[in-house]
Amino acid sequence: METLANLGLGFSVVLQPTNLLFCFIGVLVGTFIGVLPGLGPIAAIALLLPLTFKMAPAAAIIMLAGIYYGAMYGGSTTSILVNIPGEAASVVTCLDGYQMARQGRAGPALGIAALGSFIAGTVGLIGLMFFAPLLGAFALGFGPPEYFAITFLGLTLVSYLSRGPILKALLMAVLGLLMGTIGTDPISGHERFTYGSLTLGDGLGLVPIAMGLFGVAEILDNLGKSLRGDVYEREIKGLLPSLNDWKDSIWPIVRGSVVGFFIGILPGPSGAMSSFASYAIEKRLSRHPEKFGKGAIEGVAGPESANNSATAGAFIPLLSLGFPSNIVMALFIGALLIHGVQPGPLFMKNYPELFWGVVASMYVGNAMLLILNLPLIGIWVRLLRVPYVILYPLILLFCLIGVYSINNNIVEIFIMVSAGVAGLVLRRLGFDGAPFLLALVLGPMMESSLRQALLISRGSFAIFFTRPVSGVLMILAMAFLLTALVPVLKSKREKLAAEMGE
Amino acid sequence: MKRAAVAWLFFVLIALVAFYEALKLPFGRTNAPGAGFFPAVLAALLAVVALAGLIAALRAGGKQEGEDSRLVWKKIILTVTALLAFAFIFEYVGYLVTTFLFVAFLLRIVERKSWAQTGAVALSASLVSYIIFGLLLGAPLPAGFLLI
Repeated sequence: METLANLGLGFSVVLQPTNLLFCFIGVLVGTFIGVLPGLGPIAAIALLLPLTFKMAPAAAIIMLAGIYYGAMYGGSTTSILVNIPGEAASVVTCLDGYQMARQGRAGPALGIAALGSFIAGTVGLIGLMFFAPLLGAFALGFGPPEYFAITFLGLTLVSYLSRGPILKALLMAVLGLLMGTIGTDPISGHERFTYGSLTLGDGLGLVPIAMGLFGVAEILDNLGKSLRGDVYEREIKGLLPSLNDWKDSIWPIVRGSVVGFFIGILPGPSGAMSSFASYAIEKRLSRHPEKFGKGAIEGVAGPESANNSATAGAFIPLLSLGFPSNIVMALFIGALLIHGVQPGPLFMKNYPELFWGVVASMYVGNAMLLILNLPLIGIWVRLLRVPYVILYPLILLFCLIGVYSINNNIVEIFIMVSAGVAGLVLRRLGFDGAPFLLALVLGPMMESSLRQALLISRGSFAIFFTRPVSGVLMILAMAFLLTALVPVLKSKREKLAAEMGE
Repeated sequence: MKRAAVAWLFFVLIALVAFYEALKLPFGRTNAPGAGFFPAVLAALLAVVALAGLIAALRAGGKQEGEDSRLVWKKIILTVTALLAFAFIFEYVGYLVTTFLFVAFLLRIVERKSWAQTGAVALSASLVSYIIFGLLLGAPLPAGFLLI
């Protein structure tokens, strides 16, 4: 009952005209970004973050959230029509979605992706409404050791789940933590690694680094590559899936929604992971797994649902613990802190209108997205025909102005460009930027909880293991590290052996 | 030496420099860690991970890790130059001119588009973005010596 009353409060927030407008702008930009290959939600949210500083906090968060789940919708369009994933979470959709389009079934593929996303978004929201308060209440008893353990486990998981060799991911995470210490030490006030720079005194800004690593680097990487596949030119008809399509898809959608939601709660690239997991599950459960990869509608319905409910799941650790489980959530923290709103266990109690407003906005936003993505699909298809050569100078321009407008500081443009070049090189060498960026954000939280915990325990590290919650989390993290590092040695040995054999 | 190994070696060096610098900060004791505690521990950890990676890369033999598709270096260098030039002149030359030049440079010099297309896209990009950022969102944009 209380939940219903709260939801009522939420709807009263989101139905205010300005909030409704920002919700619409958010999902619109999100769809746009999702459709565009080579620019993901991270760069888009980083780009729009400075603009939210002047908005009311509710409007800001509603808009940014809209970008995030809107991108999940838009990503599927590019995957299905062009066979290029609009963003990482839609990689799997290419497999069967593009095949469906080639068989003249682009309409049902787009339709089931949008409708599945809508159902999943709703399922995810219901989960968010019930689990976030529970976890929030539980987290009230958390002290520095627990927070240290959460950040430690979070970073371990992100490295563990990141693509490529674990050593590279670990290196990026540690480097991120180290660079997170740049700036004024919040406890003692010492300047660290700033070398007299005023800009660095406040620490490395998240926005310039995020835009550099995920915006500029991406574009530099794509220069000269042909990003344009064959846009599926034929007219798209029959967006509404047939009864038979529904029969095939309804269980994949339900399973995808549930699986996606729980994967979303975990730290890491939950959108991409949840869609992969859903695809694997559906293929295993299917009575005709041989159809997968050849245009099975289940292979679109499941993953597309999963990545949408994962976005709702990802909000849980953010809103109830103040812990960002991925980079988008880290940017959200930035947006909240600017307005003096501290996400964490007390968030729901202190800012009910914010929490429930965002939740309600997701219902509204999901409905808007359905309209944006089904009847208006033609507009997005046309957008896909704008050559990338014209688009990328504009994207770069927006990155430049966006970074500059945070503090009117030219130095931050240089930081962004450096991050972009570094990101390009790292990308080419197989280092993933995601663990780095998350570590950069979590670093200050990790350091202060570590130092506070050690003060409490008078220097004994046992405090992290003797308290039940932090003990379990630390042991989990250690277990992940061990299992990840041993196979590294194993596979290396196998590789060597294989080469010797040749 | 292999590219991957060079990268790992570079990270080892970064770790050593960071460790040296972190030791200049007050380390404190474990019961009262100072400003240098966390950075020093991290730098040491970074050195360990980077060394492990270096050893693994050296032992992996001649095979290169990571992607190896060819980059179009000329375009990348030109684009980065344009980004840096933007940062250098932005506050002196002003918003409209700098954004116009930036987009025009990328389209004309890097992508070799026609003059007409370059002019049209660059002009509309600089005007539209000015309207969005400067007028609608009220971001303070530099006017430069031309006062535009």
